[in-house]
Amino acid sequence: MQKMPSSITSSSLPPPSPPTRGRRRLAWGDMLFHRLTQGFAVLTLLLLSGIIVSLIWGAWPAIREFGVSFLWKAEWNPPMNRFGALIPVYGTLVTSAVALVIAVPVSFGIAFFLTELAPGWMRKPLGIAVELLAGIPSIVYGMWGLLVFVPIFSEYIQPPLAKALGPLPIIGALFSGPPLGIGILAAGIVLAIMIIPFIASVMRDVFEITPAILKESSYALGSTRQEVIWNVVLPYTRVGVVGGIMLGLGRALGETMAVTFLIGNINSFQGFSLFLPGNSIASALANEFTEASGELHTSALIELGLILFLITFVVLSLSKLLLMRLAKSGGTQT
Amino acid sequence: MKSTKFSWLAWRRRLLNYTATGLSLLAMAFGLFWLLWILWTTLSLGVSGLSFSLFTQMTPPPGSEGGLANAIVGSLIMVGLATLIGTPIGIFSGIYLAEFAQRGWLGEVIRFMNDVLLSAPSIIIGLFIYAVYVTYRGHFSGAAGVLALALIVIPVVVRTTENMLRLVPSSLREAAFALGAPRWHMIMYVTLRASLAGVMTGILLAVARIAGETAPLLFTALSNQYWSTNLDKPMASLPVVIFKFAMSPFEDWNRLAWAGVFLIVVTVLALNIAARAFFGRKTV
Amino acid sequence: MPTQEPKLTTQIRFQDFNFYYGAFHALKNIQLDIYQGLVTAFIGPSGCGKSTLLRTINRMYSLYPGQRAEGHLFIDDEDALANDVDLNDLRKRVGMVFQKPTPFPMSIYDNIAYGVRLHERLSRGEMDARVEWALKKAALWDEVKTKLKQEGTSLSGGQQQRLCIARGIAVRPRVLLLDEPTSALDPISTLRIEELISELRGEFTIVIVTHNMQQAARVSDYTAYMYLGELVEYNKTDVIFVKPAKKETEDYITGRFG
Repeated sequence: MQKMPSSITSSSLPPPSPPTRGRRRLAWGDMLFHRLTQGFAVLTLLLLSGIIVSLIWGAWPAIREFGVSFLWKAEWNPPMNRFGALIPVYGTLVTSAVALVIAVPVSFGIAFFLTELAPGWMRKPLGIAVELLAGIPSIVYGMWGLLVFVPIFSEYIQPPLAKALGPLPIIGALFSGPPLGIGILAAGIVLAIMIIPFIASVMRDVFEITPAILKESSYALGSTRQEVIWNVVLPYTRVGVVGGIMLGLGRALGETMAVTFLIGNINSFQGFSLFLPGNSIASALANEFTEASGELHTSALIELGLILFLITFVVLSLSKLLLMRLAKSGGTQT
Repeated sequence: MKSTKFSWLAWRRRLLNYTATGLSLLAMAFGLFWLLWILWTTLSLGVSGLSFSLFTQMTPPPGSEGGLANAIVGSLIMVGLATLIGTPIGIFSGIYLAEFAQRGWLGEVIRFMNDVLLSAPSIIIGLFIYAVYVTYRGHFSGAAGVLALALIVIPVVVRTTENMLRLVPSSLREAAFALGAPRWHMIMYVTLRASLAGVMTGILLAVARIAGETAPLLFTALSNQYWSTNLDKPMASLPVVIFKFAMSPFEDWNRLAWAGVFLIVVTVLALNIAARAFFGRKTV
Repeated sequence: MPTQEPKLTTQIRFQDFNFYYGAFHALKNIQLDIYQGLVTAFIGPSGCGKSTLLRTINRMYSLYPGQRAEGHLFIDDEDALANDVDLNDLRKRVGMVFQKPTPFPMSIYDNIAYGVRLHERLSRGEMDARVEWALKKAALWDEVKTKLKQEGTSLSGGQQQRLCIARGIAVRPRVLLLDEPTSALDPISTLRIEELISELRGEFTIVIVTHNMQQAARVSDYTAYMYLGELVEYNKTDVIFVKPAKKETEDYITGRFG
């Protein structure tokens, strides 16, 4: 054991395997490969920074002309070269809010149904159906909304809605006015239909990762299904649930086609009623950008795009931050 | 329940449970109702608009017969090229994140930025390409459309590649290293291969997504009423043509739009099902 | 200390060897000579550092930042801890088999050929011969010779583990490291692996980590007992199991502890 290393003999070793060719090449290969993949990764980083820089660059004439007041001016007047972002920003936020109000509870119900209620043979096909529907392009929803949904909506849904909710204080104001069909409410509803599959499939996925033993121990105490979901599954999975809702919100905010077909594309503020037409950032861009009259108009539209990008950026950052915080505080539960 | 006394608490709990169950059933029915309705309209109106001339004739001026041939070909060209450009970039970036940058600030920043890119509204991507490419060239072009779509493919592929590579057990990596494999060899021939099914799924889903994208093409490829395969000229695509035709008051345009929607929905559903089958066949 | 017999040749030598996971001192001042052509077993309770010690021999730890070794590790007289050691070449000379079978996502044939192709350029015929040789050595040839094109993952657990052994010896290493190679296998597959180890003895220097003392007693020539990162006792297996020098070793062997 205490022999010196010098006395180690290696003469009786088995025939050594042939010497390795190109040792250097291997090390170089690794280095090169590392740098190559890193280069591509940095490229994606640069692309994103490029987006921000190019948007600011394009929006600069409008930023210089209107300053911060762009954000709360409601006037959008291309011939007079006067632009304000309030109408499209309002439309974007309100349609997304309407969509979330409808989509979140419905998605929760669907996820509850798919994980707890549905008989075994139903779960897989229904789950796949929900996921497939998340893949349908938004232009399909938009076209369907305009050509099929809106006529029925204005004739059979809006009048009773106005009659039932109209007289109520505060809420009533949201449901007043002529039943045009097209408008913020119609856009919000179609958006909701569009994002339900997204939110529902995320919620179902996270509900399913709840360990069976956790649910069983709650059932074993005599809990009802509703109590198990509410007291065990939801707290356990809240991180994912919030993530799913944020995902849906992000899509609703940036959605172009479904909203463009339905919102009415009117650039003046006519009241708080959800029945009224309006405009959203994305649909203003889709409708006006290629026909913009002059540099300032184009620039104002790009500034709208910048605002939209910042809003979705904030939503994503918030959801990430929230998820990190929840993950930290919820870490002890797992 | 004979032995227990009637209890308000138990009654309330049961009521709550039934209500929740009922509401959940209602939600499922509500969701399915809309989705079936949309699919039904697409199928019924789309099938009635299908004809052979759809694939042979160009998009017509209002009031005359025509097809969608130029739009179909334009979509195929742009989606195909965008996938060819975006996929390798996405895969290599994903490899970097999963194999070289599990920790460290650069990896974190790229990962976050990739998430931002992934959730960025697609119309913003169009705006970006407009600002850097269309204004530079001075006119709309199919190439600009390709770039915009490629930018949508990249983050999707980065995300799935990274996730799939991370699912590969580290013992497989160690086993390859233990044989003396250099890192790049281990990644290309062992881990990437082990996660091939997942990566393919990601690519198919990305293709499905850009096949139906309209917004990023509006200010890049624009559209073209005529047959054109020149990437430096405006190029027609199914979604943009659908948008234009559906918004119009002309009935034959509307009919063509429905036929186009049918084609897109069938394609996208087929891609999704293919992706699912791919992933199901061989899980990591 | 082991009785020195003149014909023993040291192939692996740990000298004043220490190992750290970040700040955690995982292996303390290890002195150990592993002899060429014999089977050496590392035993000890979970967390004693036996796997860690094994994984230093092919520098597997170099993959993970924060893990580092100090002291000396000589393999065939060469300092294996030196900075300029070509790790790929080192790992070619030191093969390893893991706790769980790790077949690569490719055919049985390619699983074996994968490692060989990294280091040697063989003709088709030579490669076929090498694959057959390795599979025969691993006592797997008769079971797979008709289905070499099938996926490696299609084999049973025991077959997969023998495939991994075949893959390891196909590159003709001098040392074979086995990290609890039977812990995921059923008793019959375990027995076959143990037979295999006995057959490979002499041709390769084999180091095996096992939590199964009977296994160590059955297959090894020398046994090292480790506890809390220290090498407590190292000697011929018969000595360790019949007449250990230290009380701790005896307690562990007789099951009074661990």
